[in-house]
Amino acid sequence: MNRRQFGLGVLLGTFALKIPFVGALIKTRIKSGWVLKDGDV
Amino acid sequence: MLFDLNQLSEAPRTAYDVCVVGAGAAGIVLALKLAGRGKKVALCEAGGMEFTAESQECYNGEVIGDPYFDLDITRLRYFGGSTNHWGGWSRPFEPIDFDRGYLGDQYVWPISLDELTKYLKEASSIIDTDDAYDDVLVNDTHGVIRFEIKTPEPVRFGKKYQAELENSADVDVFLNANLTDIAGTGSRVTSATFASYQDRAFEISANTFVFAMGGIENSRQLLWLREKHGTQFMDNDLPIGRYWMEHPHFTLGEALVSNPISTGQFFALTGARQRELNTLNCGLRVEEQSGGATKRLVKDLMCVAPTVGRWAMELAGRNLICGARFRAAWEQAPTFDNRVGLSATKKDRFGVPQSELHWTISEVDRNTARTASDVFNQWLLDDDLGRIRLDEWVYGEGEFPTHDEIAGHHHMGGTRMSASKRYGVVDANCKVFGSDNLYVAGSSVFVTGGHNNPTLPLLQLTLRLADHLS
Repeated sequence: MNRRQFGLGVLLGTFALKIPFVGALIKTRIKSGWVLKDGDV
Repeated sequence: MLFDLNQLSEAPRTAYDVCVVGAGAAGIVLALKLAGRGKKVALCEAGGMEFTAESQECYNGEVIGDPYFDLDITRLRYFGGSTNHWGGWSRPFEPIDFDRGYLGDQYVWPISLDELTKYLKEASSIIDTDDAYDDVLVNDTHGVIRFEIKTPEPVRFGKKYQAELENSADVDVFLNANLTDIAGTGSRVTSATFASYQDRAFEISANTFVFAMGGIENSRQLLWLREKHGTQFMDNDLPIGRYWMEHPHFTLGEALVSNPISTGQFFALTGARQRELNTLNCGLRVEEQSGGATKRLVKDLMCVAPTVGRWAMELAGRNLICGARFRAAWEQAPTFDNRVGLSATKKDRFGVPQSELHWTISEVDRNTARTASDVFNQWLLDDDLGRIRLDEWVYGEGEFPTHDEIAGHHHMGGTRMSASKRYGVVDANCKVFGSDNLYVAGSSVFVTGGHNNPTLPLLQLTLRLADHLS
């Protein structure tokens, strides 16, 4: 499961909830803790 | 009138309309409001006018679970209660806080937010602030708002209202009055017994009793009275002490932010965005760091991501970007297992079992901060307003930091209001289920905690209770 996908699904016991992908507009990645977007590196 | 039980041989008046137990923010305001409507009120405070060790040690207790403050440190047990050390920050509940039914019945308030909003102006005046909040939608795409928290000089309720209480013909304040028992007929409480520190007992009779002892103590005393009296004064199996909540406070990482994200401002997701993401309320803040943080962070970013690092260096050279801490204070999910319980082995000097606070920060709570942080990051990246370096525990699965602020000393829940005895201890009017005339005031009746400081909302609820009891 993607870390962005569970939100309160954990509490509700509904991991299958179709929770919108928070990063839908910009693809991000974490490098050494920095949250970066394409072109940053 | 003011009476010190340590100096008295007997209580001067034996019967009151209302007996309010606890002289903190809720108790003092309730007593004065009721007196203003012609009620004869006994306001009973367990401590004296000033801090004493003998009173404060009655707050000793044990924390079980995650690291939390010592229970005799996180609150104060003398006239004015914990307003003697609060910071004064204030903000009311938000519409989304009263619209969580989609998460389950344990999130449902039995009243609407309008029931509190009508008391916002008066509650704000009590804490010497206004009721206008300058909230701005700063990014519609991601659903981010910048919100205002009032930070007036904190009102010390004991100091502010002492003279008014002393001069009131309708309020008798009893200092050093420690609740030890209640008595009554059927499910009606008719009297309460208080002990002084000289171990003399006093009985006070009233038509109505209100517990306003604080967000841990209300639960402790109700649990103890249930042990002593069974279901005489309250229904069986009420979740007393359960669904206890705090506001986790942690540093999530560091940030390099440009001018539009001025440090010291507060950000959160809109209610619609929270609902869309199935997440709870979380306040975010960037706080400027001194001591070369900007240079250090730019250097670090340059090593990790040279392209954006050069951008940050160029802005730093023109003083358009600064290094900051990225902090969050957020709503904790109400869970059955976070609770106030009674010690099986330790009692205070009056024979009441000490509190045991079972408190754990869950993965749900981690995800509340993580989700808000993700959305905030999206906005920063979209508009090139800065970059954030998250601590590993935020995006990974490591332990929460132990050397951080941890929480806000905001004690909520335990005697929550609810339409259902399954999820609450008091009804929509703050009356204990199964009792004729025993009420609870304070943040212990909160169903959910939102992410804002609890004093202003608890005052709104207190004013509402005063109307109900008038």
